Amino acid sequence: MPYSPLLIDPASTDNIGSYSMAPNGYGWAQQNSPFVYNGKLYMVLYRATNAPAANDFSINVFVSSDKGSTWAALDAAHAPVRGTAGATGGCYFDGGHTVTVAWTDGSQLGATGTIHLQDFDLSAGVWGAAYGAAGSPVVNLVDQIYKRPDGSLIALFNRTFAAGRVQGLSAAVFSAGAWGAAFPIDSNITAGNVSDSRAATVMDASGNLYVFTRCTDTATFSTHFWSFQIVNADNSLGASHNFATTDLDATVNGNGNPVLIGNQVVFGAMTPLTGGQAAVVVVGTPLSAPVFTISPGIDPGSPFSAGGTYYVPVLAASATTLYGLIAITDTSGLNTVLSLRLGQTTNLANPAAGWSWSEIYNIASGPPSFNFVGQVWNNRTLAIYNNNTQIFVTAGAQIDAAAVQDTWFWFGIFTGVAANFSVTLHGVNRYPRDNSSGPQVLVVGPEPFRPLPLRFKR
Amino acid sequence: MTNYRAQFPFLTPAGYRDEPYQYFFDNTSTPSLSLNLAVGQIIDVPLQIEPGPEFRWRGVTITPPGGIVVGVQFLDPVGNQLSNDFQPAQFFQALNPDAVTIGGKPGEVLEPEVSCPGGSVIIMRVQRLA
Repeated sequence: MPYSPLLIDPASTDNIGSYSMAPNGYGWAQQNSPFVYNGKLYMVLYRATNAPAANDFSINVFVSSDKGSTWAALDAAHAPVRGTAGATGGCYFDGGHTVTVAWTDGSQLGATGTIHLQDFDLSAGVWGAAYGAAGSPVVNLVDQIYKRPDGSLIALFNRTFAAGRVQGLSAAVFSAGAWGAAFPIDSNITAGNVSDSRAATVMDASGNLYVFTRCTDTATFSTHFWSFQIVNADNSLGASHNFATTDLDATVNGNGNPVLIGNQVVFGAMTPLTGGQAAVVVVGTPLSAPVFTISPGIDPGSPFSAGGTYYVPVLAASATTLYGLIAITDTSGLNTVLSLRLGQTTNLANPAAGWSWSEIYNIASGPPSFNFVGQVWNNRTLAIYNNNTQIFVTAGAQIDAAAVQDTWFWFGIFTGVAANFSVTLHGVNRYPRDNSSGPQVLVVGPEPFRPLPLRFKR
Repeated sequence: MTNYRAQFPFLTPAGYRDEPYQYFFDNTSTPSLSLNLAVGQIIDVPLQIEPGPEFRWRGVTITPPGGIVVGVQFLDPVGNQLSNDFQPAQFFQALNPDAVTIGGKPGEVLEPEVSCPGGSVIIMRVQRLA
């Protein structure tokens, strides 16, 4: 296997693990990580545990200077600390040297809270002071935070808590030190339905947001489908689309953020069980008013039957290639099988086609310390860095071992096993003879062709 | 039947002189040569020619990575593919008797030679085959 896991934070006890701040259901969606700054890898993670003796809900920025082999938390003493294990948040790396984290002290289980903001300076490696709580919208969860080109922040969060669940999807802008009024971004959802407050999003260079959100009916909360909405840079709502319940599966977690490729928005999803469940990509074009097509199954060669808990591709794109990562939890046998499959297509003009896949990890061949009874995949991200040549996969597993009643996690980054090779090009450097540098060399060979002069005489 | 081979395939034209030269690339000079590929994955590795004299590229040897099988396909500085498909890197392996048994030869000679202007870039496309 070219990829193998390692622990991000091996010093943690079993009861202190880490979630990735990954695009996965409620909150914690960000651009895929790890990301690169000044030649080093960074990840933003939050810790979660239910163990009373060791509660640690801090948000840490981890750094690796050795391509992901070892990681260390930066400025942990000033790291934000969420209120509860259920508190959610998001983060955004602006591509410069600032990571902005947004989290709430509310809970998706009912307690409301405010949104807290805090910046991490990658150049200095330190946290700044928290801000943004004053005048914040009242929320139960925070999905994502983005910094727009004008420097303002836009946060996505749930709108209400009713019928025992978070409902609706709203946004608010933090600009010039103050929050604007919250506004709904799910108002184009088919009547009688509401967003379940989950969102997978991406922002373009102009500050427009492309939002996929899961929806459910408000009568029985038993019908699920996906909806798409553009939030323009001026906060007006742009084009929207409601997918049919028969188009895509909207019951599983784990859909990553969509990616923008040229004039296309591409989203990893899964078709419903009734439609011969398969991993697909949803392609919408043009960006201004996308018309969506759903690809055929992009991984038909998978040995695993679709319907595994997380048979949804997480996408990441380089300038030449679209990558997909599928984490499979196969519980059909006595022993849970965990597998990671990595695919790619270079057909960026038509990302629905040209996919090839391989299994990059299988728990059966993984290190024994990463193999626990009953574990399933939890979060994963897919990132490309270093001249588009390397892929890092992060994943976690939730473990419900009989001897440990608490839900606990290990968290690992799957780094490729580097295989070095070298290339030697043989040849000569060619200099003009009047070049004074270097020795003059006698050239052995036939005389160059010299045409004889032609003489004519009448 | 004997294939035609020019008697002087690497002739130095009048007014010039040639000095033997080698470019060596590994992961210390070209990070992309620290491979991290899934099966089927393809990367393009740029091999930079120094600014200065024209380099007449006449052969290539590769020390393949251990543990995985990769294929390579070279593109000359103007983008011409030097092979129709990926060739196993072992074909370019220097001083490896196995290279002969698997159909290759020690290193690979380029005939005709490839002109690489100073500052140009050779692209080596690498695909993990297994």
